[in-house]
Amino acid sequence: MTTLDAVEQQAVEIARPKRADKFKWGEIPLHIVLIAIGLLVSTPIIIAFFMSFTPLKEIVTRPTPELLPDTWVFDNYRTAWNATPFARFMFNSFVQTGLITIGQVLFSVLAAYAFAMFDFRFKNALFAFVIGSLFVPFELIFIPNFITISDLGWANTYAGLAVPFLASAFGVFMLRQFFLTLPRDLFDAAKVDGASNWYYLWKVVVPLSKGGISAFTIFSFLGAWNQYLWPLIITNDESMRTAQIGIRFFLVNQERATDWGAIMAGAMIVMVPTLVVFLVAQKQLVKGIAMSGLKG
Amino acid sequence: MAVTGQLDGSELSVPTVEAPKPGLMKRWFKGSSAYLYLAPTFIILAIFVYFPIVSSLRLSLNRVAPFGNQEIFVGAENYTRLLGSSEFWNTVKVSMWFMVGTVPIGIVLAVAIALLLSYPVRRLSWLHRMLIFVPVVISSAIAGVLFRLLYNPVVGFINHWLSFIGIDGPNWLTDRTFALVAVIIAVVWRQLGFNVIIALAGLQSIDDTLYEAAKVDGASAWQRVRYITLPMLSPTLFFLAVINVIISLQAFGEINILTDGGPGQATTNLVYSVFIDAFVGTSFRGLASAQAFMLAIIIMVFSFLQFRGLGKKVHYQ
Amino acid sequence: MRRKLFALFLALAMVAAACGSDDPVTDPGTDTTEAPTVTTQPTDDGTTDTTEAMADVVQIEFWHAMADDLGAVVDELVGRYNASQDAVQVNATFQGSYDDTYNALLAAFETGTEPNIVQNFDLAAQTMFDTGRLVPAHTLMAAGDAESYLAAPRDYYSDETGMVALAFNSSTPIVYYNADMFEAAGLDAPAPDWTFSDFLDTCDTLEANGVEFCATFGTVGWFFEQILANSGGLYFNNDNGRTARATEVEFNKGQGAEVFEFLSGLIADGHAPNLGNTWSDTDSVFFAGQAAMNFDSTSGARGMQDGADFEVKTAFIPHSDSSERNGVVIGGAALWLIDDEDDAKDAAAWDFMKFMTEADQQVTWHTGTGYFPVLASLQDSPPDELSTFWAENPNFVTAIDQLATTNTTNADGSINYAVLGGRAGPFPEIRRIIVEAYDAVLNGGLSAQEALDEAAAKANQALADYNAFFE
Repeated sequence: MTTLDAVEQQAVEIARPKRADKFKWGEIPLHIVLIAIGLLVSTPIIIAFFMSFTPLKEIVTRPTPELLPDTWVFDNYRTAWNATPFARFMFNSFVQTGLITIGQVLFSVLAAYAFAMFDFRFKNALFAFVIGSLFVPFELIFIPNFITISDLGWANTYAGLAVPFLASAFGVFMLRQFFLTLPRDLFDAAKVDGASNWYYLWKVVVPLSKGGISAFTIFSFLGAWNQYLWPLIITNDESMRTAQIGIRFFLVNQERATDWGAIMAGAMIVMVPTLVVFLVAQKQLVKGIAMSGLKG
Repeated sequence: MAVTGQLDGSELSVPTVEAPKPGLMKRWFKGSSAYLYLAPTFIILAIFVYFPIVSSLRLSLNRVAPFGNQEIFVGAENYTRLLGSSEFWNTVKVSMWFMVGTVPIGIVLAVAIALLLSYPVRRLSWLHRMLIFVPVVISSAIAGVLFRLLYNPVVGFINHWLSFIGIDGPNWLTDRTFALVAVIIAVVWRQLGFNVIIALAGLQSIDDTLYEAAKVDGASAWQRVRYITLPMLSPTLFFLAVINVIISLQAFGEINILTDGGPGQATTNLVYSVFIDAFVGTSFRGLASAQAFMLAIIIMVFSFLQFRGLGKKVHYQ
Repeated sequence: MRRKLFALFLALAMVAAACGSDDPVTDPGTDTTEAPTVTTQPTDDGTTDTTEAMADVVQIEFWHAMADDLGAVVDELVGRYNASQDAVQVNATFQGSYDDTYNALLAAFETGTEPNIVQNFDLAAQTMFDTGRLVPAHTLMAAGDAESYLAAPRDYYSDETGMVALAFNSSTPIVYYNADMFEAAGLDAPAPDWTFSDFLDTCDTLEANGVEFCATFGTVGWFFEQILANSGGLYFNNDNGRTARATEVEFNKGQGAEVFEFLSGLIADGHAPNLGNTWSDTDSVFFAGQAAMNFDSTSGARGMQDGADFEVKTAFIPHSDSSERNGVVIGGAALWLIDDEDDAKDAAAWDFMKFMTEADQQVTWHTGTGYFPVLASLQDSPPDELSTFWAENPNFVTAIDQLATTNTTNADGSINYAVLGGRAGPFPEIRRIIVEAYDAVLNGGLSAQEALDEAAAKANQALADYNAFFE
């Protein structure tokens, strides 16, 4: 079995673990411990959820904090949604994330294909060039990038938000590994059929690597959606802020006693897309992460 | 096959995978179109990763006016000034404490939880996993906001819950020590799901027959963990250590939202200091760039030291 | 095959380019500058149809730092302006705190995304002058216009040539107190010239009556600056940076240590909780009845009065025992006009700025927030609605009285630079340094004097670094 098949297999097992053959009473303590840990880990999110339905009056007048609201209200969501253009922020985040994800996946597929299948001059040097970028911390380059994007007139644009991140060395490396594992026979068959490189990439390589590509897609999506430092400095127009920056401004936009209910409602709004991805694509996500172990 | 933890600049491919023979491929893929396939990645990396290294270096040798419109060449002045500044060494110290606070705890927690999760049970394992994995999708901004509520002295839950067990909770965000602890907790939390998944992947790649053989030899559960699991897990631990060190050195969002680098400069790590000098108030881009260079060097040195230190003990299957 | 690949890249490049320019917000210049400014030159046949007129509306970008309930009043005023005429459309953007707005503006000068008007705070004055990108207000004002403003905000934002920015939201710090607690403790309203000792006596009485914390305030720089001024201390050399560029701070000399010891001591001695560098957690503590007094800006008068479920009263800030009450510096912010290099646009922006400081808007602004009206006429001969409002809401008058009773001249008739306020390029950083000085006392074990000396060294370095570019 190849490494990547193994990872694929693992990912399936991590997301949908193998079950014991039959229930044993002895498991019960383990269940209790695991549920307790699970609840502890999810506590911040659970609190945010309940807080988002608690009226401000209750939050500030209670003598001690309480988890559940006495009266459930939906007002906090309305407040958050109206106080700040969250709809616009979410849209911006989707555009930025969409551009970055598409760019990273597409460009990584192309580059990985070249590295896996082609022989050309400077191949090793170019590969080192790509991989070397993994070791450059973002902190070293964001000031010049800010200046570059400003000079291009791309501040406050989707281009400014996305273009610096359209390539991913990790994606190139990971997908190259995938492509290298494809069975040899396919090449021979394609060659006999006279297929072009381009055709072969899209008709054979990509469909056979769907697992790896989708895992990388999710990985890339989350990374882009959760970006913070870059959008913070490259946008100043409210209509171009992303959701992550929006929540930060919403937190700052508290002149009096902080309206925690509305802030948590805002946080829930921003978390929803990633939570949905988590619930729907847990397997791919886990696989993407498990495969990032290959990077090291 | 195990997820191997090789970090070696010269040979990064996974060794067990055999590339198709070049001789045969050469004839079919007569290479030059490869450059076209590489072009987008190459161009982006050149403009937005490699070129900035050069311009960072240039900026770090200049004093840059507050509005970015004037530069005065000052040679190594920014560097000598940093090395002689107690604030700079404080940010280095904060970064180091931050690393010491997040990496070992994060990894130990992750491995312990992964060990519990890897024990097969009849039902509910999906629930355990979902609850434990979920921080993996939480951004640093959201983590900051959630913990800001938890730590709040008036409406926060942490001190309230501590009072149940008779502890008078500290001023989480305004005490120097606890502010750092507070940010560390938030970062460990956000990173936990990721670490557990990696640890689980490592655990599941260990061959079951090893355990069965050990059982036959009468090894206790702890002995099996000590003598089989941990050694076999060493590549995964190595990977976790490297990635967590890098992540901890780059912590930004939680600090920005929870403490703004304070109180004093108790949570101003290198990254935050770069940000402050470059984008807060009248900026000092030259000084910020010099710090960014120092940070980059520290990150690279740590990766290297870890590789040397851990590399020898790492077990390769 | 290669052509396909090329086409793909081309398509992507176009997508990227489209993202860069199609969205109207991405390029604030195009939609407005290209359009002829019909606002000032109606077409000769006078048959401009509506759609064309719409396109010809001058778009003005206006950045402000007014959060929450204050931001709502800004939006109301902007809405009122936009509805009052159809030649100019003002688009208001909240940019976060004063510091955030200042940072965003400096970055915007680099990215070329600066607004037409920015509401920038008091501390930014020197930096704003140094940008060289302003249209000074006095160049657009009619003769004598400047006299219609109160002297303090006018002089604060003036240079040697005249008024540079339009004071819009001016404030002073006041002490909000829980009148129920004061009454329960048998305390009278604090005297206007109360000293630190008087304050601490009040604390002892309150705390003896079961009040958890006597006071609450954020460890922000503003209260130190203000109480230092109230005690007659200067912040910078060169007459607070008013007669020449400030090159050194003065806050660690004279009254400084006594003032800083008082403030940090309130926290260190448990009279106030340590909530850090905040403006909102202090209100939570005050509203929750955990603290009897709350240092805040007069701009909070509306929110404080409406948010509390007890009676809120207000008092002047205290001064040091070793000084006479000197008075306060104005805080808040002003409207700055940034040169768009398009006279029609600058004129449109100016029109809006003037509108914001007109009597009607200032009354709405004052009564809706607590910032005092900047027009002298509103204080000298207030309209009836304002007199009635003040009679019913004495909390809104405290700041006005506090400023009115400020000693703008010294005994010998010279200008009292302490209350004119400090001016220096890196003032915002220096405020941050004071926040750190609180921590040096509270967590670092330094004395107030040691902490201020340390802060002064850092501040002087910041001044030198900044001034190096303006010699």
